[in-house]
Amino acid sequence: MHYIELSDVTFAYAPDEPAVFCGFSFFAKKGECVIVRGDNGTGKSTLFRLLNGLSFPQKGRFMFDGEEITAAYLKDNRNAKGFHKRIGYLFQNADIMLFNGKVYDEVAFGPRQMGLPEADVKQRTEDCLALFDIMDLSDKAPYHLSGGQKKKVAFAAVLSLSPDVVILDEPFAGLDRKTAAQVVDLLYSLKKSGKTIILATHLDEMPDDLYDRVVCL
Amino acid sequence: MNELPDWMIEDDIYVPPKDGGAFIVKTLQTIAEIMTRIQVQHGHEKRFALPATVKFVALIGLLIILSLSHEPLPLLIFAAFIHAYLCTWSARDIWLILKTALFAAVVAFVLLLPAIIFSPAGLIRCLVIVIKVFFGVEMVNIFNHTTQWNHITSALRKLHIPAVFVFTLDITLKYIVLLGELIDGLLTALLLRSVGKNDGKYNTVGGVMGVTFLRSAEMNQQMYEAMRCRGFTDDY
Repeated sequence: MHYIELSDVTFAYAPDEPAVFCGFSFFAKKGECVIVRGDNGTGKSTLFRLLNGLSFPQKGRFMFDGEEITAAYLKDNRNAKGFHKRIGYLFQNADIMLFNGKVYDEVAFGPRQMGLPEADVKQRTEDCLALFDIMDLSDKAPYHLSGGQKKKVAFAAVLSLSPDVVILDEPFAGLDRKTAAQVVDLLYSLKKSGKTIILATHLDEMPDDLYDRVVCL
Repeated sequence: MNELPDWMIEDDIYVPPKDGGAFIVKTLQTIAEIMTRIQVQHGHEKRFALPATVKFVALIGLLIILSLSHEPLPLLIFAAFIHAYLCTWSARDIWLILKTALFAAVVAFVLLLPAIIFSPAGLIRCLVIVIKVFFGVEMVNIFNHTTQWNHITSALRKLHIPAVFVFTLDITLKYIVLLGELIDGLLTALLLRSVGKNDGKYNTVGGVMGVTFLRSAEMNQQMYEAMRCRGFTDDY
């Protein structure tokens, strides 16, 4: 049994729509970096929705760390919160991930919910802002930032929860070359620290020694 | 890029606290679903292939006749025609039409209940009003179900409804679905990052609503500018 495993999954958004996946299987071992590739409409975003417990397969099953993730399992508030804490998801359109008035509050949103003391929240938030060199944006409104800055803030907000698994949908889209190189460095660090990384991106944006496997949809 | 901080590397044993108040997220999700549903018309344009202008004029005419009729007999004849037409539809679509009409009729009945109780002699008249509400909503639903939004706005323009009104209606209809998607995305992000107890629920909801408002204003401006670039001269 793998750390993350989708086995023989069939999924369609509606009964009268064609299935996005039919007998599809996917796995990721703990600490692995897996790249998901595929043309537009091949189901990358759907795969990420399944892995995040936002949609559920009609057939087959989704296992995460030995636990079957189903709608019934996530209906329990505690299970859902515990699950979402362990899986961080960076949307392709980071713009819609930001709903707080200040960048600081955006990054501190997760740690505050975890009930950490305010000093720890401050520490985590500042660490995450420093990871992306965006300390100077701390008091700014996310809404008014550029696309690349928004992506950094969204990524920082995801990492502030210290998830075990990081799922990134096109993390380099909209980033300049320097920032993209910074993100690659960060991915190296995340991998070294034992985080599992699943990302949709183009291979030419990723160094060969960073990823372990490529899954083509 | 800086080194990862220790807390990010260490194993994090986290037990989520109990937290109520999921109703806010659920309510907003319902709003988003409704907004999305408004725009997604499955429609029967081919089934009733009259031009939208004719249908619109016929609808207005039928609504006027319906309002003016005071006897049950014409209403029953009316009902026979409408339901004979509806019988050619699938059960699911018939239910979609009838559901809203029934709801409106029930609301009308509840509103008229005091009049019925205090003046039983007027029962028939009250029932006629309830039936009129039912058929009125049913006809509007049928029109909505058999006519695409863009054909409705086109019909309004042909009937010389002021351009500003048509433009506003058209933009609103087009953006309802986008706003629904935007709210859906924001709520999904909120859901994924709701990992514990949120002491500032109303701030969060305010943030979601605020971002939605700002984005809607931005999208409106962007679309207007895009239309201007493609030759739109404020004349619809």
